[in-house]
Amino acid sequence: MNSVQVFWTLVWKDLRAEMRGGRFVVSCLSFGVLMVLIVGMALNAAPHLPASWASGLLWMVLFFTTALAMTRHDAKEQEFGGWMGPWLAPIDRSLVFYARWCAAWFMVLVASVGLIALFFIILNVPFPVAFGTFVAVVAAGTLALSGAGTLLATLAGQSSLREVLVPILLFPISIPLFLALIRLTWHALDPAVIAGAAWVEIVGAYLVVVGVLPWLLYELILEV
Amino acid sequence: MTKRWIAGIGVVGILGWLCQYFAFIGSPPEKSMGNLIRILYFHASSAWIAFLSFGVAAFFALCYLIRRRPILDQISSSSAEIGVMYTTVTLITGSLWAKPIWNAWWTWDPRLTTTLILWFLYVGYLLLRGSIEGLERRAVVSGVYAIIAVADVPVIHFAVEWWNSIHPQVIDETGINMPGSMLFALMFAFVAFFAIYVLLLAVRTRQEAQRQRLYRLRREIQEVRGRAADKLQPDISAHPQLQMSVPKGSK
Amino acid sequence: MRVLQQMGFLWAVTAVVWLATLAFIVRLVQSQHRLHRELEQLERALQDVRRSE
Repeated sequence: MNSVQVFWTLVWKDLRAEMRGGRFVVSCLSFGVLMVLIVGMALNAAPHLPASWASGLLWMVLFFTTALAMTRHDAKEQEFGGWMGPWLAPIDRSLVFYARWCAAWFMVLVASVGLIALFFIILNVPFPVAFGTFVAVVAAGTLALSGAGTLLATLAGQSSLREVLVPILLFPISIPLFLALIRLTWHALDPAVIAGAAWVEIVGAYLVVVGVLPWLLYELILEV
Repeated sequence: MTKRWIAGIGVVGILGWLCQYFAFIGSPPEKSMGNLIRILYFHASSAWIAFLSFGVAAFFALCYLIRRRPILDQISSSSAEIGVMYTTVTLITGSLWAKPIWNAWWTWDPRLTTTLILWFLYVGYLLLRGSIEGLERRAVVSGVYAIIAVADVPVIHFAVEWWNSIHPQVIDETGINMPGSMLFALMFAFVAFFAIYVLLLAVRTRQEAQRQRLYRLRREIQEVRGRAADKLQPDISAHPQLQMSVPKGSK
Repeated sequence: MRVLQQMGFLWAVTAVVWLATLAFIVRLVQSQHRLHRELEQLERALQDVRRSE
């Protein structure tokens, strides 16, 4: 098997584990929708949210949901030392990271589709005007976010505070990403607002860093 | 306590008093802020020391990941810990300075916001480091995190600055023209804080080294005792089914 | 009045700076004491091991 095949095997393994009752998507979705509901109540059921608030709240919900979900992503693998299997394969270890990232992204994406639909319905936000931009921003944002989350979850994997620590580490690290995604989503909701190319660059930079860093570091993190 | 330590503490004490003198008496009040400008000497120095110590932490973390000497990790983590202390001081003094001149304890000024995020980054570092078992694993993981965190700081500053550019600038600090005596007081305060930092770093690193040695010794004693106990107990390797449920963390 | 208030903030800043440094040092000394106690325990454990061999 070459590395591409190994990659898809690993991704498929994660997805299949999820389909057999991993409950990643279900817990993500129910937590996220619950947060949308809470936000709606906190805003006293405001009938019209400004576009800037709506985009900020949307990403807040997505960030919390992803950060919490990341902590339990590989919980299934802990049983009977299943995590050892991929490590024993004669491949570059960073490949395991990329597979895990891809699977996590896919599941987060599935959950966020439902989440975003309910967000627009419950909070009565008008449908995004620039729909293509909106889809691209959500896809790129969840990709970068799940990548950073997977990396930090690995870093905090041996910590006894793991469940709390992943959100605590993820939020400050990805503040620029958060700001950029809010601005770009605002632009998608209301194209009159100019977002600025710098925000696209920030999202791109996160994608590049999350893509390259594990290739350099993953072996190091896992060796001990 | 050797003579060297006493001399070090003495020098730092004298520097501290001189710093206090230059900040309160030796420098003139500023024309728009009056005596409040004297806060600058403490606030700016602690901010610089905080940034410096995080830089030192990342540098030694990188050295550790390359050379794998325990002392490098000890310096790195000690420096980060002192950095958190100075960041806390920077935030509190900044707040105390903002209240009388901006009439608010907090503003979304890019520098302020960046410093607060920096504080969270390194509180996360301390939590991460404090909750991982095993000396080497802890050193590698926290080292990697320290490097990522420092690399993230310019991005955060840039993004926050960009984000907040729609708000009016409350104050342009570059507009303060500093006469020589104020500049001298500022530089002196920085030197004094730097001396304190070096002393604290030396003490803290030594302590960390001792703690790690103690930890290793304990592990060794545990092993010796375990071996002694094995002699009394029947050999576990004769019963493979007993070894199935060894938990993951115990390798 | 204004000068007095300014001096109040100034002294608060000074207090924060030096008290924080002091608190850090006190914490260092405390953990040094704890380290010392652990070292003594370790010595006892060592003697214990030696006796049992």
